[in-house]
Amino acid sequence: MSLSYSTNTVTLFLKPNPASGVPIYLQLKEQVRHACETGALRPGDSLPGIRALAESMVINPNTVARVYRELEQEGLLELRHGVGAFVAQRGTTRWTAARTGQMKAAQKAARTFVGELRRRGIESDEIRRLVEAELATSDGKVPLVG
Amino acid sequence: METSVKQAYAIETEALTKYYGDFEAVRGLTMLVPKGSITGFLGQNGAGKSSTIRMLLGMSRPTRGSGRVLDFDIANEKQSIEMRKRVAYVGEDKRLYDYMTVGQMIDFTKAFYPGWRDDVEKKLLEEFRLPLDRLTKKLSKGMRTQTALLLAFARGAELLILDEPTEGLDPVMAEKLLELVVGAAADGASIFFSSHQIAEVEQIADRILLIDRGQLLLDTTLDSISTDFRRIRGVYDTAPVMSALALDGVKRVAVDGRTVSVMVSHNSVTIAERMRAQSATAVEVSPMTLKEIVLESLKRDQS
Amino acid sequence: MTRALCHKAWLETRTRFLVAAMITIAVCAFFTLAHTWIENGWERDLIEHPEYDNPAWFLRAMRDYPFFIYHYVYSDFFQKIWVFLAVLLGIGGLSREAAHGTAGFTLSLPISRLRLFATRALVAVAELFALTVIALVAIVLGSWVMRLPYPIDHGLLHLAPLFAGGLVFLAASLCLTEFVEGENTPVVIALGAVGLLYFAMQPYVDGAPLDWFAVPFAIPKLMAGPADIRRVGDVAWGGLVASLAGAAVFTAIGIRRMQRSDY
Repeated sequence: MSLSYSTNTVTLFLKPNPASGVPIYLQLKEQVRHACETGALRPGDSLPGIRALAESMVINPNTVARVYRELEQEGLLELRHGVGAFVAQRGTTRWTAARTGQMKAAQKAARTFVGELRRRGIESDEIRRLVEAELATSDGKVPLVG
Repeated sequence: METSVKQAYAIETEALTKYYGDFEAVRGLTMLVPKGSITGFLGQNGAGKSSTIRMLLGMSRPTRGSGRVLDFDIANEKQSIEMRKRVAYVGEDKRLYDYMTVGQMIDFTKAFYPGWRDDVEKKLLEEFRLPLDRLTKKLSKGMRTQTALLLAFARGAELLILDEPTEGLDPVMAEKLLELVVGAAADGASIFFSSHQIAEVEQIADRILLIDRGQLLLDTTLDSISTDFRRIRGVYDTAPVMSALALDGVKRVAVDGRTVSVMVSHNSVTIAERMRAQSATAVEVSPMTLKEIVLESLKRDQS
Repeated sequence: MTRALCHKAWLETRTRFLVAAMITIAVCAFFTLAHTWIENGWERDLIEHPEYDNPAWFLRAMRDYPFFIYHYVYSDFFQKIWVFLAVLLGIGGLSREAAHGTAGFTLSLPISRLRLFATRALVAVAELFALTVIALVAIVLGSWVMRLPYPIDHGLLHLAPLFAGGLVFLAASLCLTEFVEGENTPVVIALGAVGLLYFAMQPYVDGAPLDWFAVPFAIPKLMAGPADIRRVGDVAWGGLVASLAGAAVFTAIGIRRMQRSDY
């Protein structure tokens, strides 16, 4: 059996699943972050061009553009006009470290929260539903207490 | 990016209506499709998608109403011809002239479009391995489709109008078509494609339009679907006052026993509040997938 | 763009045209090449079967070769075939494309419907003209091979009205195919109509004088022209111009229909 060897962007990023309930642009954002965290992409590495990435993933080019823009605002990427998108040099290590720290704190908060609700006798499915409803309602707005 | 308002729309219609005899195929369709977007035109078979497209392209005449494509009046033949120089259309059939070879079809089509992209032609010829000297009637269905796609995407058009483009295509070809669409969009083309496949619309579209029995039910962006559309369910002890629920954003209300389910296009916070004010309990707000929204919108009222 | 459209119309009708050309050559050449053989047969009949009816034209055809050609080619047998070929060349158009599923593609091209019709008509007329020339060449060449004297202006003076008459049927066909949907229905209708016309007009072709109600349908007689044609002035130009006007009317109706239809 011969192995097929291809240098293709698609192996770096997986095609997003439109039916997963998570918007495509979020999936892509998460994939880029994940690639930076695992070291698949290192500071200074170039990311595929908007057109190339859109074509290989078969998603809307505006979506790719938006992901790159937002990640640039978050400090993960650097967009050089006329050249393309690159993983930010200075920002990354600090950014990943900060994120890792944040993630650890978030994990701790989640553990506390779930433990508290369980203590009150609330089932896992209920907890999930409450969280989803809360996320859907808040979206940046002040959450309602109902 | 600045665009003058006049040129911001790829397609605009105002109360576009089409009667075939007594049958109203399209009713008062008013829509705005911005340039540079990929718009999915969803609807069941017979909902009026093809009738609308035929009017936009000048193949049939509107009974009432008006429309502009790339800022050209669709009801004026001269303007329609100007418009068609910049538009590529692929019909559901994807049939070609039986009596021409692949090469002849390309040479023929090329003659009408000064913006023809030789590079795209070459690339697709190679990629699809199309036999230039074979008569189109001797091509397999797959190759015929590939030829039709080549003829469309090599035109260098500003706007692509595709009627059920993936209909009858195998999954590989269908994905390839979507890839070509995305590539054209990246080059700056506007795309307007009708489909009854929700999944492919979700995958590549910026905006969706939902038409049913000739009428426009939804005109929104995919972003709005995920950030603004919500299903709000509440349990009522006594029957709710329906008029109190007639708030901006409420699209559909369904009652099942004590549970009332409301589909909203925006304003979910206010509506949920109102329901709570009506003494609804267990009010839950949850996101909806495009499929759920479409199916919900298409439900016929039973009153 | 016009060139591309004409090329399309040519490719679309190429096979039909070639078949028409072969039929034309075959029929016209047949009458020249077989003349001697037919004549010998007639001579025998006269001797062996004195009871046979001999129509007026028959006796003249035996002696007069150009008249023989006149009778069989311009007036009777070939004329009917000619008309059928003219109708055949006119079939096509958007209704037919709709039946084939290509109307959408054609109509999405940046051209006016008028131009679509015009290029199709132009190619059809050119093909009809080519057939006329082919007929002439076949007759002249065939006659020359059989060493039968045939004055070329006899051919020209008869083929001109044949061409003009053919234009009328061509125009009717171009027009009809814009009204009738489907691939074969227009052919059937056209042939039916033509068959009926010729059946009704046969007595007049055979020599009966025209009744008043038959005048508008006198085209077969017009196309044949008078038997003793010598000068250009002998051709019934008036009638022919009227026929061409009829062709123009058919064309206009066809165009209008095409421009107003929904596809």
